[in-house]
Amino acid sequence: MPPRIGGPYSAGGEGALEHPVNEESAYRVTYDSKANQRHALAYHLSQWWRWLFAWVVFGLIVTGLAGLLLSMGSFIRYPIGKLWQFAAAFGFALVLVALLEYLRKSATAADFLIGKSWTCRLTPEHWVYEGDDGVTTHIPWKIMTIEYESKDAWILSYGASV
Amino acid sequence: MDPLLRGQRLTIYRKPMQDAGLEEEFLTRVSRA
Repeated sequence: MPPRIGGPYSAGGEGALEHPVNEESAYRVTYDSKANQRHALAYHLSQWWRWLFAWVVFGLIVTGLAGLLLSMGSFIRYPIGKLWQFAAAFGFALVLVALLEYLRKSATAADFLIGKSWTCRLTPEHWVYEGDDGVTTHIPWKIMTIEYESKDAWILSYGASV
Repeated sequence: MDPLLRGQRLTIYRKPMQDAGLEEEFLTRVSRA
């Protein structure tokens, strides 16, 4: 059964009735995993200064712990030179793997939506999307704000963030 | 659309909107931070 394109039976409150469907402003969207991945990567790259800050803080903590370890090592006269090099390499690899895994999960978090489609619509008052299950969501223009844009997508916020 | 985004946020694809010739209208209506 093809999805309904709006209509007076759509849920969504008064807005749906005040602004009947304009078929010309409706379009179909299918979940695009590749576009999501490119968009997520572009978003994280745009946040490079946050990564840099986290990296500096992490470095300071590791340096402090290393200093503590070295002072303890000199106290107990334990040869930790090689151990320190190993620990540094291991720590760096651990952070790198964690970072790559974070990026991978972030980029594929919505992949359970593969194969899903929505009908989207622009009305004078709302941006509307309707899933194939018939649930329709109306978001008023006046509370929508573009937070980030890439060549693939926008991240929009609407209302209060939790 | 990405329901896993935190808070009341979502991802909207540009290409389908561009293909429908609605991108300009969308950008006119939505505010940009």
